Amino acid sequence: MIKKTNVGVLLTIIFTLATILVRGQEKYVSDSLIIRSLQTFVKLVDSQHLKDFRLKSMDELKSLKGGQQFKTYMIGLNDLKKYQQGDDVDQIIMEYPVVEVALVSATGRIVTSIQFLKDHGKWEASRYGLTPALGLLSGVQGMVEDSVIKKGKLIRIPTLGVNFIAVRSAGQLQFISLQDRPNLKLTKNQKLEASEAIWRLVPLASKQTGQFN
Amino acid sequence: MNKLKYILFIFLGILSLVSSCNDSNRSKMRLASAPPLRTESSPISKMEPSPPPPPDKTLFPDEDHGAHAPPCTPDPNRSDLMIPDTIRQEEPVWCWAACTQIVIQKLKDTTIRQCVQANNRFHLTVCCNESRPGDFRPDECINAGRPEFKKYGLTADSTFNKPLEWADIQKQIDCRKAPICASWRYVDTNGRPNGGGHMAVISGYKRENGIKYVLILNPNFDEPSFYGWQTYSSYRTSPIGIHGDDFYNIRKQ
Repeated sequence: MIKKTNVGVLLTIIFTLATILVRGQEKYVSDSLIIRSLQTFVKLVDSQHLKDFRLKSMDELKSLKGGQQFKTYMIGLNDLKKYQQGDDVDQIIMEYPVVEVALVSATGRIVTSIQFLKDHGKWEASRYGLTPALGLLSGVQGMVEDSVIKKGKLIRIPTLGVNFIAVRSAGQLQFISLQDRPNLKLTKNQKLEASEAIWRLVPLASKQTGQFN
Repeated sequence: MNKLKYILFIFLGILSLVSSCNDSNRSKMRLASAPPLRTESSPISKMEPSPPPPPDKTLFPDEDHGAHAPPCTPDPNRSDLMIPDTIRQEEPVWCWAACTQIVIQKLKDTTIRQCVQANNRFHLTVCCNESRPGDFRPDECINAGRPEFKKYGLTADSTFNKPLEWADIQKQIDCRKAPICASWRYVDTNGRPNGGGHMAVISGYKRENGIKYVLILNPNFDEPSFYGWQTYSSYRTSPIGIHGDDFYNIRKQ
């Protein structure tokens, strides 16, 4: 027989351990879900499409492991248009219940990815295949320090096709460019104050009047 | 035994609570110690009311433009137009032109450059002036837009801020052998449109373990386009984007 008090203690311990476990990891999607989703990925990709998915072989896909999980942060076009020099960039960064999990090789190279959405409180795989942002990130691996990628947030500005890694240094939010964009005076791996980076985008953002970018 | 079941039940309940609390906290998480980011919340339910949509054109009005086609029952499980992944956006905001180029290449086996489409769309003549590598196009060319199939010998129907039904996608791909230009409008964390949108080509579909997927060729500027299998439900809507206009029944005039 288990006494009621013992049950209470047991539950408290379990609750505490679970909290530490979940909060202690920068993980949103469980390993088991990633493994299951990778199996689905293998079933979805036809051998004729391997190259289109930037894969060398099915064996390569099967060999990949779940790597860093990137929560989706975006800056919207309307917020860019309204941005004034010196405004707080944090205020226009939006966080979405979408996570992209990098699938990495044994050496840690990002090969492809799976995107997960939160639906009714549960993460579910929603897209299989690399996205432009993670594709760019894989392109700067080795150029940008791993520690920066690990602690940084991936900031996407999809309406202008611009992506940054955001890091905080001495209390200042800084952006590292993932692309060369001569017309925006951005170069790959260039680090600049977030407010300066955003200010450079405002003129182009302000000219966007069409529907689809 | 019953007691054990009871404990297990409570434990699972607590675990799910912990998980959701944690996400709720994460949603309020900030980049290190700066002021708070905007937080996620119910993305779709708080949408601003849209203007009333015009009546949708009938999907697959075979009596209009497919009358001479033999009846077709699409493969229920899979079909793929096998579009090569060779076209990239010539400018970061030209997804609409890239989609048009991909579709024209598939259906007419010819190419209409994206800068030509920009000239035509914006009534300009300077968008193809790239005399030296690294030259920038004039600013007036670098703008978002939407496909203009008619100018290039194709016709198309479109939805109005609405996805195609699964059966429609199957018919487009497997019966008509026609790609679809699908679009989404970016939303803020409250599900309200926040400016701009994106367009990509649907070139296949598949059903796997009872889940429906569409094959999406996503045009991109920095590298060739990205192929991805996307769940049909996330094609319809996602926390990042609500559905925009889809161009379908694309065919030669």
